[in-house]
Amino acid sequence: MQIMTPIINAIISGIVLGALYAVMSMGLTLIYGVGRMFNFAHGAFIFWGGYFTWFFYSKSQLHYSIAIVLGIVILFLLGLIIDRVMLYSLRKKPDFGIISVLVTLGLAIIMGNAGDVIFGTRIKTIPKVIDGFLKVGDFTITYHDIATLVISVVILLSLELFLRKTTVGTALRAISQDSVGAKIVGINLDRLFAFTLALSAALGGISGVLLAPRFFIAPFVGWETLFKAVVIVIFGGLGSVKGTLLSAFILGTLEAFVSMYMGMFWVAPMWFILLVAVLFIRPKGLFGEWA
Amino acid sequence: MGDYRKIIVILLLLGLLSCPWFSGPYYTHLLIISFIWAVVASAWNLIMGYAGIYSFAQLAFFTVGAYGAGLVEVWLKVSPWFGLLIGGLASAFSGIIIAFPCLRLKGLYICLVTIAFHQVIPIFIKLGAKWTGGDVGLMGMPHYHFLGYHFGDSKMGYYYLGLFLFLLFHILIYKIIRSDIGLAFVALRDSEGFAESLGVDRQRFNLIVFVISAFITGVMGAFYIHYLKVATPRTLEIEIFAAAIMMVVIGGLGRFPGVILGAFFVTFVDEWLRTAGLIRPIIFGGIIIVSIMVFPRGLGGLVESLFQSQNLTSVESSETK
Repeated sequence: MQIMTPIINAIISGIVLGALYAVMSMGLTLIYGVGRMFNFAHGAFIFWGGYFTWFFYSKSQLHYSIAIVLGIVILFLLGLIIDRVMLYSLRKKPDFGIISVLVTLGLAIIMGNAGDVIFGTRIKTIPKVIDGFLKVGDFTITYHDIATLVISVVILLSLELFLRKTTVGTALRAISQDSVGAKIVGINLDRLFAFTLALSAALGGISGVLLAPRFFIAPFVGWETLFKAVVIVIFGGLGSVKGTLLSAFILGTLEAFVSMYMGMFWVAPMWFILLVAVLFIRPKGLFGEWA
Repeated sequence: MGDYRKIIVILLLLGLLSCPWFSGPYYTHLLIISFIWAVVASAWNLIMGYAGIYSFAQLAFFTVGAYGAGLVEVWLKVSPWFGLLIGGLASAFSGIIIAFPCLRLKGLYICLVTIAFHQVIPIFIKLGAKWTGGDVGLMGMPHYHFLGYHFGDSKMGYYYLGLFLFLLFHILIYKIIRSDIGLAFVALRDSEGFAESLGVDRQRFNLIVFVISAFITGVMGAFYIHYLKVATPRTLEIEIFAAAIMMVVIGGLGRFPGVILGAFFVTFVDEWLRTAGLIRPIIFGGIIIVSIMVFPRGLGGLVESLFQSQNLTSVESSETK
């Protein structure tokens, strides 16, 4: 029992991290599936999720839940605006793949630093969703972790239902399987792309709110989370929702064990080594298909 | 037409050779930095613009070269001249390592794997802080000596060594672009299936371009740390990454002289914006977005379209010869 306790704790924390990482990277997967685009600014969306919550909660003195919802709504609208202003015209170009990387990199740099310019570089924090922790025998789990797990699972399940049961969700899956065929049967690609970008921004924002109490809210967090999300989506296979889910849980559990036995510092190198190892065996990731 | 171009090149060369005698130390410094970044940007352009591989590992190669040379010189007391070669080889070796997973990948997958590689390098530098100096940086690299001339005294030595490397590597890159290897790169970029059906070995040429590009970048990394007297993981930060991307984007992907122009332009603009503080990265991001949306072919494309008619005639005349 004495030996098992840390292992079970690590597994619990791995499951929580996995659910959180799945929400965090799902936006990247969805937008790749619909638009064959890699969104460099996804880390900035995650970071701004925490930032807006900080702004509305600490600065505007709104209720915590209202602050979160408001931030996510703004991110959704921001996604629509970014599509209309930047990506709409670029999407027609033949080398959109690399153009999207470069343009969203520029956007990520702007968004990453805009917060510091507007509100100053002082480190900002937001409180946990619920404070305190639960103790059952030898195992402890914080209420924030439980809330993270519940919220993440609810989001993932409703996303799955949305993709399976609704017309828009079916259209999204159709586009990611065959965009030309989807166009022929009359699916409006432009509108769905805008919607998906907005949805992925909102998903990133939610994960940012859940992540923020673990870190500070600072621009570098955006880049670190982007790195994690990148590893998760390639590991699972670009554009595959199933793959992203599975790889988020695998890498989350790996992170929990590595940080328990080797230290936080080793997490990123271990992720990278595992990623390269998987790509050697399956170049497209766990569930990936060639575009 | 050919003579006209030669005269321009010779005038530019004479200008660069005589520059440090009247430009003062500040502009000499900026020119040295421009030489370094121009080579890095051109090596990046070789792999991304000509070979069409979306590799974002260029600054990782640069840093690996810098630390490869620095570590060997500081701990093994190797001559700094030899250090340039070691830096290039260390970087080429990392190029092979990162190329192997990339050989089987395509498009955005390569972009993402190389970004992951870029993100992992500073962590390894911090893990080996005992030798690399961690965040503070690696210091104590010896200075160059050449025929009794000591490089630490003024910027002159570094200027001419930088100019030498700048010219050497650009001639090399130009020769590669104009050779059969360069033709294979472009063929694989523009029509992969067709090129492969004609017997162009994609994996072999991808490996070649990774190694060449990494080697050149690594040598410049080694030179860079001698000039700045310190190697830090800061070369991997997003601001420098953005600046390097800007050079390629502003210069125009796949446009050889354009990217050199882009490197000089960005280095000088970067310096003038130093006082802008927090706004500076935002201006960078804005420049990247605007230049992609408004000038998708970059400075190189702009210059080309200005000289379009002359270019056409020069191609025709060289073909009729």
